[in-house]
Amino acid sequence: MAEIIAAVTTSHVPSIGIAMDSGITQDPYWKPLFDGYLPAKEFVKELKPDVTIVVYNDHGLEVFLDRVPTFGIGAAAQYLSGDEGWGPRPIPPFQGDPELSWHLIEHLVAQEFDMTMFQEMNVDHGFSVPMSVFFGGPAGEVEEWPTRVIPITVNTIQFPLPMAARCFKLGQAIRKAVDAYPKDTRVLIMGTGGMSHQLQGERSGFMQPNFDRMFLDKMVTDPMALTRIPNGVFMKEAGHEGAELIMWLVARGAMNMEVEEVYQHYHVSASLTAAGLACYRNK
Amino acid sequence: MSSSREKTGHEETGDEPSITERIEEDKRLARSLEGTYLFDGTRSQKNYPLNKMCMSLTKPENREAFAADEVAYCARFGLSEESLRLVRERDWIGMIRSGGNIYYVFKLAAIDHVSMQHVGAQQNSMTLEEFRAKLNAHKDQ
Ligand SMILES: [Fe+2]
Repeated sequence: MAEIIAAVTTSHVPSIGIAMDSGITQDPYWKPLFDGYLPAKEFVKELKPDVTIVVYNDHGLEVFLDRVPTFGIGAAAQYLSGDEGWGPRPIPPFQGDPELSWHLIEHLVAQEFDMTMFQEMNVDHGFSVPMSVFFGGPAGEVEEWPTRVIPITVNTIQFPLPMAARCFKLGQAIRKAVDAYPKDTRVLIMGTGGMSHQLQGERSGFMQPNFDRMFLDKMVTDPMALTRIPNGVFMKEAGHEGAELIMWLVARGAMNMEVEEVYQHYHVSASLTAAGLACYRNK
Repeated sequence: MSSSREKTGHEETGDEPSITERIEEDKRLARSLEGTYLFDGTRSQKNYPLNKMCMSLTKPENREAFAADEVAYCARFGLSEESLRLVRERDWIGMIRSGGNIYYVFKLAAIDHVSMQHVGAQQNSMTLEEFRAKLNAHKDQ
């Protein structure tokens, strides 16, 4: 039987990818962040997931404003790092798991989550940076990804965004779908985005560590409280772009109500973003 | 009115805000944030050509065509005179105000190898050093 073995969450900032790809992770600016990633890499290494479900948002690689899927899922055999405007990242291709993808699609739609299906898709920094953070070596280096992947996309760009509660319920539906998969498969779920940051407008540069710390605490102690936060409040407290935190709730929803936080790291800042990371095991 | 609600099974109890009230409250809050441009349906329609032009820069051949002749390239997407000026002057805050979405607009910044910190500084009317100080000030919070 398949099983969700753990959840991990992290911010996904393009410049974190650039720092890894250009070999400057030990520069004074970046060292505290990358040092903070080391225990999370150890945690994931020991987990040995067969498949990693990566919950992220497309930032204008596959999705433009002409058609915006609220929730999407990849069903490709392979996913490449795409060109977001500054060239693709120099990383190996990601291997998919079409069989599990189609199982998830069937089981999610049967649970009334009407996913948009992608049989061809490239992935952007929202996907690839977290993968390098957790699965790459100390400097993010990767020869071959040690896990198959399934991308789940969430619209966090064109308002209205899905509500936090809906994202959590999507996680619960993913959990049920994985539990019903007959093949022995160890599945890691990864929530990405946030934490507090704003990129647009005169308010760009806004961060709110107090809100982020509350969010990190409640991820463990009271996730249901987080699902009641309206997206307008996320924007006020975490910034217009910080509303991405709703994607952490997809990962949280796929876990037991009771979880243990194995590791947490919080760093201000990676470029304009308050960078958070956490690892959770079911209790 | 009440009968049609009963038919759909969505009668409201009166204790909770209606869906309309929830949406309006969410938008009111988001729009009340100073220096923030809620990217909702209204804004998404405001400068669609600018966002579409910027999105096209994800292809290297388009980046070359843009670099070769910015005005001609932008004309293909029907940018307004005002948007052409914003692009020419790399006026990031002007683009955001005019309906540009930061994720698409940033692809234009990438052409000039301009970082998000530069874009943030310009949006704040700050020097890069001043903006970095603003970012670092959050360390102690
Ligand atoms: Fe993002």
